[in-house]
Order: sequence, then C-alpha cells, then structure tokens
Amino acid sequence: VTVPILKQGDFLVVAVEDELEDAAWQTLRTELLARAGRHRSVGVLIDVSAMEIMDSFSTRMLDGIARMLRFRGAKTVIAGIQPTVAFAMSQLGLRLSSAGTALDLDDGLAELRRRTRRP
Amino acid sequence: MSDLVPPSLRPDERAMLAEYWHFFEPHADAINVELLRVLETMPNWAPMIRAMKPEDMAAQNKRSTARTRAALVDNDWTEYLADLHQQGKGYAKSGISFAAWFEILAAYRDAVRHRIVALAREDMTRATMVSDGMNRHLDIAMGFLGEAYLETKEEIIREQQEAIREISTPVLQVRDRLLIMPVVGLVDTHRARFLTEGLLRAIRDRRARGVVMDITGVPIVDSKVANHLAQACEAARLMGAVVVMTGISSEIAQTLVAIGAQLRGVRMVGDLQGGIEEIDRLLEHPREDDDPLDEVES
Repeated sequence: VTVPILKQGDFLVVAVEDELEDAAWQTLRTELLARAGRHRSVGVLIDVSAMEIMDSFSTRMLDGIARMLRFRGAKTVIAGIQPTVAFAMSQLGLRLSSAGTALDLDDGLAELRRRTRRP
Repeated sequence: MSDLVPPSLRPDERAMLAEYWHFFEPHADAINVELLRVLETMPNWAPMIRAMKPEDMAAQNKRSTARTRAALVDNDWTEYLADLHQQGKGYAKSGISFAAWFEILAAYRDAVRHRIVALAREDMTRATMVSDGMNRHLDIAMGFLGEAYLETKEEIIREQQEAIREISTPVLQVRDRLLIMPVVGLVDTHRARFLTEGLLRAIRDRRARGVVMDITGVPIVDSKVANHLAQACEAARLMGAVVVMTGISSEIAQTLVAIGAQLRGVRMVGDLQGGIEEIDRLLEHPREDDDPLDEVES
C-alpha cells in the first residue's frame, strides 16, 4: 500500500487511510523526506482521521517522521485523531511530542500556517 | 428481586424450630400485645405503630403467623422470606436504622423469655430446645432482613453515583470554539474516564480549539487524580485543542509538590478568567515555548 502525498503550496498533505504495515510506514517516511526536500516544503500535514487504532509503533513512526522533517526545516501537524483513539493513547502514555495536533484537515492547515508564519 | 435461597437446616435444627413454634403459637396474641406496649414507648417505632389501624394490625399479624408457621413447621420458606425481603427494602427506603430493628428483637426476646423460664421449671429439656429454636429463628430472620436492607441501600448508592456522575461533568461553551469544563467533586478512576470521554466528545462535536479545565471544586488531588487530569489534558491536546488548567488552590499546590506529582505538559493559570485570557493568547500568538519540538525529551 502506498500513501499518496499531495503538494499544496508550501505544504505537503498526506491522508493515512488505513492501518499501515511496518514497511509502508517506512516507505511513507522516505517519500515524505524526499518530497519535502524536492519541493522545499515548510510544513507537512498528516491526516489520521480514518485510523481507528493508534498503537505504540505507529505513534513512534509519526513522532519520528515529525522529528526528521524538523531536521529538514519543516514542521508537522497531525490532524484528526479521533476521541476514542486520543483516549486510548493518553491511557497508554503514547505522546506525539514532536508534532503539532489539530482537529481536522482545515484546522490542520491553519495550524501549519500559524506555525510557519515568518515574523 | 434476587433469588431468595431458603436456609439449609439440619434435622435437629428443623425440630427445634418446630418445637419453638408449637410453644409460641398459643402465646402469640399475648406476646404481640406485650410487644406493642413496649414499642409504643420507643421513638423509632411509636409513630409507625400509632399510624396503623388496630384491625389492619390484627390482619397483618394473622398473615404473619401463617407465613411463619409454614416456614418453621412445614419448612416452606418461600412466602416468609419474600415478606422479610419486602420489609427490609421498605425499612431501608423509609430511612429506619438497622439498629432500630434490634430494639424490636430485644422486646420480643423479653416477652418470650419469661414464658420460657416458666416452662423451664416443669421441663428443662423442652425449654432449652424452645429457646434454641427461638434464637435460630431470629438469626435466620435478621440475616435475610439485613441482606435485603443492604441490597436496597447499595442500590440507592448506585443510583446516586450515577446521578452525580451525570450532573457533574458539564462541558460549557464560552464562545466560538472555546470550552470550559468545571470539575466538581471527587475524581476517581471511573469518573476520570467518564470525564475525559465527555471532554473529547465535546471537543469534536463543538470543534473546540481551546479548553479551560477548572478544578476549583475538586477537594482532593493526590498523585492518582493528578495523573488522571494530566491524561485528560494530553488526550485533548492529541485532538488539537489547547488545554489550560485553572483553580489549583494553594493547599492543593502544596500537596502536589509534597507528593512529587509532576503534571507534565499541563499549562496552569491561577483562575478561570486568567485561563481564558491565556488560551486567547496561545491561539493568537504561539509562543516560542509553545513549539513542542523545544520540549526536553527525557
């Protein structure tokens, strides 16, 4: 399964539609880093509203992606974590400390703009 | 109503119960009269006794005698236990204390005892058996009565807990996309879960970007409660909302430091007004330390 990566101005947008296999996560990571470099993106939005489960592996993957993108000069926002997923993650102590969060795609784009705004 | 399982009795116990009843029945009316006279002097029971019509009481005694005979003599406990259960429930609901029941027992024992003593002068063996039978009977009765009483009290407590839970976790919208959640009362694991779920649902349904959680009304915050509240904040953050906690009293602040509770990742402001202002600021101008990447990872 490959996850399509869309370019939107200075940002990249990804929607993770399903639970991904380990290999698919790694492909997504490599692709995102490459595309962010090629398009000189300053922000990446990852929409996870279709994910019904977020385990420690996918959390670590997302957090790792955010951290790596930061090294390339791009900020990451995770959008659309569902209430039940958020609850389970907080119970398990899974944190997404390297990424910003937002309610949905719209808010996510607004949040990215806010975070990448130049003074 | 739960299933009432009749007591399992050895043959000698059945014999002593029957013997007790055969001794008691001829005296039943006299004993009832004596019992009434004593109960009328007791503050717990006098109002109830006075409220009953004599003919109703006579009818009730008659039914009760039939039920008790069936239980003690014929070992048929169904109706007797059902009646006890009903009574126990009734007393629990009307707020009569359990101890008040032992006042009746004491009066009843007094009324029966002097008759047993009279019997003992003629037939010691039978008197012993009758008195054993009476004690066994009263133990059984109080056991079932107590169980029904407790069952009803527990039911009342469950209903109240449910009610408290429902009224005590409102999530209020102050203005567009800003919610406040005043937490009032004790927070245990169960309630923390309920509260967090309610908060997350509200964030989604009302598209909140900011939440002020005010804990002025939480009387005790120990490390467990602190942990629950921190988890609620973290879950809300995962959904993209900024959470500020307010209303930590100086006593609670001291306790938290004394027990070493961390509340990591939770923003705090003194009062509700300050919390709302802080959220406005955070949403308008993200501070440098608002950037999660600058958080030190441990």
